[in-house]
Amino acid sequence: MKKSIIAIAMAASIPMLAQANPGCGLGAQVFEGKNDPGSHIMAATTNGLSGNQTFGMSTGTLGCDTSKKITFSAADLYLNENMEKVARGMATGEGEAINTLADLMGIQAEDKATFITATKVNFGKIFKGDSVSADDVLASLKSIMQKDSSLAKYVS
Amino acid sequence: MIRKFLISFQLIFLYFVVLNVNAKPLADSLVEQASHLKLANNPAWLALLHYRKDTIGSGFTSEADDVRFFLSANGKESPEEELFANIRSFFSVDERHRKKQCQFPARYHWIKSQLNPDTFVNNECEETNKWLAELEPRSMTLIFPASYINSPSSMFGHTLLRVNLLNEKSKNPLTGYSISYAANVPPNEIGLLFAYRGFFGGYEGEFAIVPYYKKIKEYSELENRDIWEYELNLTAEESRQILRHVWELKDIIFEYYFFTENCSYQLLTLLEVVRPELKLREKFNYKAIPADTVRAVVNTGIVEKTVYRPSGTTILLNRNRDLSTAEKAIVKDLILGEEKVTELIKSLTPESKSKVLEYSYDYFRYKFSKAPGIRDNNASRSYELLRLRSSQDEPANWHDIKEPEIRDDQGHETSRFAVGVGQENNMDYLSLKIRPAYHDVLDPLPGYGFGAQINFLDLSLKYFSEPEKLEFDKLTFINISSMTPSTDFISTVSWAADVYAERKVVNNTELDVLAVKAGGGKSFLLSRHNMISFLAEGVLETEGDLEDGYSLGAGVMFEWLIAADWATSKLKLESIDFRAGEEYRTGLAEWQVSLHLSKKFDLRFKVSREKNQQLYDSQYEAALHWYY
Repeated sequence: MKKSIIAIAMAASIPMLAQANPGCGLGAQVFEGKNDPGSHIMAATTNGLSGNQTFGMSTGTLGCDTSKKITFSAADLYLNENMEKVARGMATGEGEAINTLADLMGIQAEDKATFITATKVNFGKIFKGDSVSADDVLASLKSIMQKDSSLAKYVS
Repeated sequence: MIRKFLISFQLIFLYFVVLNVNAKPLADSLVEQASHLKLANNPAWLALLHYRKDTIGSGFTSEADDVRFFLSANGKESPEEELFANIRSFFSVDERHRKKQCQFPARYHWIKSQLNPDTFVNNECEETNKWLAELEPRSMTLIFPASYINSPSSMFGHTLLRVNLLNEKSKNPLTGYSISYAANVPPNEIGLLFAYRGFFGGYEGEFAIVPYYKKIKEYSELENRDIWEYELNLTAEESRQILRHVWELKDIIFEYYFFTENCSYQLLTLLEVVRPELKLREKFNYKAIPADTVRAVVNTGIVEKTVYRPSGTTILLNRNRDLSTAEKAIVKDLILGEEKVTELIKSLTPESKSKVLEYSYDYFRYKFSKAPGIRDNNASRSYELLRLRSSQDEPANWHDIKEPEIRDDQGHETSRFAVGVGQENNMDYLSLKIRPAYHDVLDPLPGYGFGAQINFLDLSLKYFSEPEKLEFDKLTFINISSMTPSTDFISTVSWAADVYAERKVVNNTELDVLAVKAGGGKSFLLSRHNMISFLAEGVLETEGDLEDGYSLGAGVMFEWLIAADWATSKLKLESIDFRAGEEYRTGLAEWQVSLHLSKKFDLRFKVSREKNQQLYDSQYEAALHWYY
């Protein structure tokens, strides 16, 4: 059991698997419950005992179909896990979450302000509603960036 | 062409000569050299193999409980045989043996650095190197999620290490990775079994590496714990060696013990691998409380800087003070009302708009993290708040959150010993108390949460002079109490749980009862560090001499707690009516004051009067408490 967990983690890096939908893609939806209350209580009442740990790394391959695996970047996975914080960061134009997303996307210091302003101005286009998925957000974000002369180079 | 061929041939020939003629002696000569240098007793080697000196005898035993961790059959008990077996593998002529380099890169690296062999073959370790390359470190940070509001058990804490990556992104700590050690607990494990195995063994521990932001999410957002980050002065190479060692531990089984071989203890071993001279592990033989291990690390002087990361709740509570009364009223409507957001905020200044929108959004997030459902009921409202906020240019201008003056590792030490004099029922006594862990509300407050208490194995004995006798007074196995006041937007329940054995008089008979007590209620903050609490309680006592062997009661409790820098006072009134099994009634009025002489000493006074049926019993006590 234990060995197999790690074997899978090493081979496929599953850290985000729990948040992915059964199909291929980043399944997290904004404002949707993700954590299991049971594990929360367990972690809260002990010094951090918990069973679902991995050796997973930054890039994940979600095995939605064993014959073709899709690899996600660290930025994609970060967004998938932190939708509500990223949304807040975009809306306010400040904070750790939007900065982390920018860093993970590789956005250079000189373009950061442009990125943050662009996401604030286009908040309603990036987060189109209260039930968008991480996939939707990424697609909209990338199309906004493509239209910006200094941000286009970060999306290819 | 021919020349090229000849050179190649020469090279191949040379290769075989080196391997077949010199290689076997190489391993042998290295073993000899290692033996001569007494490398097996080197603290770095002892740390790499997790050896501890035996309590009895002069030998060593490794804490790893897994044959896969050793290359020698006697590896668990023999540092020397294990070292020699490692050298013979790593420098073998046979590639199958050399492959062990990939499984134990930290050992290989260390042995190589100690013996400096002229000729050796580095095995191709694709998987290992790929993993290490992804984690190419700049430095390491010790992470200590502090205790959090309304969960005293979290005071026990947890520690992890953060790998700060070398690349450009690394300036942002959220892009780093955390190394943590935890027990592998099967899902749906029953609470009691879980506690039992946690204390007495039965779980296997394992290391995990996950993005640091996941840990932030877990501790800061779900559990609402402030986090302390301690930047360590480890070099990039030392950090790399720690990672090589983590790789070695990848699927190695260690028995997990909640008190001793726990998360924090194992991190000390990781630090010792590169800084054996710190001798961190030997300070923790019987218990390794995370806060104590942090104290030990801080005391070694390897911490360069500390960073405070307030939790979601801390931020919410602090920003509540930045809201005016009018803004609070609007926040309340935004959170609870049905009216359109645009209507509610239309008369506000731009800054106020940003403030109420952000605060309401954060409140919804806090609420939802506490009660995660399938979907947040306030999703559309939350979205509307952000959409409107995105069209506001004026920032909210929140005040910065002040770092607490005393960190969680700077509070009193957790073991306590007390001697005192007192009088019980007009009989003089000397009292002796010992408590291995952790904190009660009368202990010095700095570094701990107000109203939070957790005690383990708190033993109290009394020695009476006339007639001369040593009496058992009370043994608290575990006692947790959490008095948390509700605030403007956050409503909380106060609660307490207690498992203990106690000498007491029941219907004129003196008995040692075993008891469980639990209660729940509400607390109200009168001013800073001044709080009253009301709890409803249930008690079950067992003892053979009680009617039917037990006594079941219910009652009420009132507590008034005031803490200042120099003293803490607690008044407690309690009435319990035992109605099933042995029937009786008790009432208690108790006042305790603790004078904080220093971080190490308290002078504590207690006056209590207890009514048991129609009998009254008074007690007076003065005791000196020492924290160590």
